[in-house]
Amino acid sequence: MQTIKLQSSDNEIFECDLAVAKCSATIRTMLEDLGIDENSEDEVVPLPNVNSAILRKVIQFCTYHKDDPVPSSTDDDENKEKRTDDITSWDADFLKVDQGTLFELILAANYLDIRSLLDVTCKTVANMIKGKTPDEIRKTFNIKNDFTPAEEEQVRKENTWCEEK
Amino acid sequence: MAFDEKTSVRINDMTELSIDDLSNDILLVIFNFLDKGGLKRAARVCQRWKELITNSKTLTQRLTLFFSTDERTYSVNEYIIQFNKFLETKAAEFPCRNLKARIKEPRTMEIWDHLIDSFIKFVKDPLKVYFSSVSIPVVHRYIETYASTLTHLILNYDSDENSIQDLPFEFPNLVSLHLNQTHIPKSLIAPNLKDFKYYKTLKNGTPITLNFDEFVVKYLNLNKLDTCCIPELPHSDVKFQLTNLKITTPELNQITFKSFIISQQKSLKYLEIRELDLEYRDFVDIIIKHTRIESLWLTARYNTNHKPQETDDFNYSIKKLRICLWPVRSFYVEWPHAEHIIGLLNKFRGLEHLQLMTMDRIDMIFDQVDFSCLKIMELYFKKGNDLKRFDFAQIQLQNLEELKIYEINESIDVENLVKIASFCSNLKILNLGKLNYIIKRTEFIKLSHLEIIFKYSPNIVDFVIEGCANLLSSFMFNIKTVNSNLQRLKVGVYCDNKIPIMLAKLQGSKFVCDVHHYKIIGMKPTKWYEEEFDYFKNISDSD
Repeated sequence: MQTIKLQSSDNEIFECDLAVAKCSATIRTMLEDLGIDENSEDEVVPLPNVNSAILRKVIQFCTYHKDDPVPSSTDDDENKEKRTDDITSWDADFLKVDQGTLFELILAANYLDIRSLLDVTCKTVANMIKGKTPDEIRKTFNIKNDFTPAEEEQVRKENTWCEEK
Repeated sequence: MAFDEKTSVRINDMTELSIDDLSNDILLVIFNFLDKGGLKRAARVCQRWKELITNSKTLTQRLTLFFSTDERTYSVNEYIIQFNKFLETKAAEFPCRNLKARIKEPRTMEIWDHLIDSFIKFVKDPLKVYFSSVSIPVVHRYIETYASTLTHLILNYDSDENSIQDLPFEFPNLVSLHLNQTHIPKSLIAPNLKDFKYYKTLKNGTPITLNFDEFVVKYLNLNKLDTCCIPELPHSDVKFQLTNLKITTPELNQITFKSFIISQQKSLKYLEIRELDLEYRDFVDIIIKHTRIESLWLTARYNTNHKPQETDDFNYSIKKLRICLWPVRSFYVEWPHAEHIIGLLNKFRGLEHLQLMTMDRIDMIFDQVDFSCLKIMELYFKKGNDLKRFDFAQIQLQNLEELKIYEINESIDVENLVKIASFCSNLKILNLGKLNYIIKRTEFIKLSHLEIIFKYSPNIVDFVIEGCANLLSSFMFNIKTVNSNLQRLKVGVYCDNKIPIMLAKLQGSKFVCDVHHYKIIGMKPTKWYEEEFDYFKNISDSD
């Protein structure tokens, strides 16, 4: 099986299946556009925005999902609310990580352009937001409340009916 | 879209990331998974989240369309509670589409009064108002309240049992009245009316006729009229002088129309005749001879019984023709047969701006028309094959400064267009709009094509390209070295994950870069989609 070498930001080199690496549209583009020879033994694809711990996780994810069908982009109905309760148990286990790692995975998925990983990580964050009051959300993510009391009252008034649900 | 540097933040430092480190784009992906309640609560978390949610068209649409898309039915009390709360934040459109089906109990005047009061209280600009599918009591109350100050009124869609025809239409200050698919008001008193639009067709497609003599002629100040069928235009005694006239007129009486046009010849600048019968052969000549119209737009009614003949010369199958006469500076034509318009094109000696849309044998035009004055050219291709037959070096395109090309469908189109562009050595603006990447899923325009264009047209300062995200990300590598004169680069892509990569590659460039992310809604970029919500754009534009 054909393999490719990926270099993390902390200079660790990972060798993985080409098919796995190609889950990343960014890597695909690099291979195609930059003319990196897929057959070359010595060629290393540098990924300066991903550290080794995260890259290991990403490769783990892509290895598991490499044979998944590519979701069609035509079902992007913008106005439709998307489901968040369809995370598979493998993905849920995979994402049992601390918040910092979760956000690093999101950034890596975004940088590497891995749609399925970005989706599932963002869904996980959305699930952490869902059903919480604004204050609970702030506590969960350690976000500073930067509204003045007057502003807060105003925003609260505008939105009271949400609380009824 | 502004590049958020957080997108490419280095992850190898030791401090743990927090949600604040995510870029706006990523936060929006997350918010997109929230339901309405979740969104509203998220908007209360902090300033940044609030701004992001309230500035996102997609997300706020989910909130504002609450009443239009929500299929639930409500009790009257529930509805009023929801409605009031809705109005506290949003007041652009009266949100009661299908209201009858939505409310469980029979409605009472009390409910209506309450809704109307709430609406009137929260309408932002009482001088300009847009009503669509609204109950007549609402409109009535509104008109009564604001009749003396109202300047712009748009009413869309009434019904036989819910008709606007008996409303007291007395507006001392009304400037603009647009009635779309409504009944005709029995009386309309609006001495200052300048802009009147009336359009209604029955379900079988028959347009409703406006009685021109009674209804329109008395408005002395009228200068813009847009309406459907006017079978008998007034012969004389027309007091107003129109600058703009648009009519849809399958049953046009040619003689009265001609005399009407002549009566307006001093003022008329813009004339649009939609669905003109193809039998009216000499219409363009009449208009050229008798008026000083600057813009003419003809849309022909396609007559299936009428067989095309060679002699028909630009009377047959005119689809759209817009010509600006003497000095003709810009010419818009959407036409199936190139040979029909070559004669016309050759008359326009001062032509600066040309749009050629959807046409067979475009090569004939390039062969037979002198384009040496042309400064701006827009091409819309259906059959790129037509271009391969002729010698590009012969076209007089040296003065061309702006070239826009739409709907590039095949690789042959690309090659031909690259050839055209490469002979326009003075090109300053090149707009390769909407490369048809979505349908074909292949990127047939290659880096080498762009390199040729930039090599032969070194003066390009403004470059617009849409689609082809993969191509673009590699192109970005080279553009800095290929073209040193570039000042502005506008890129539209359908894949937002590419944007950070592209922008990272452009860091350090001296030109301004503007990257738009087009979300796929059919083939429509969201940017256009949003414009549909701007009800008053037309009014303010035409003022």
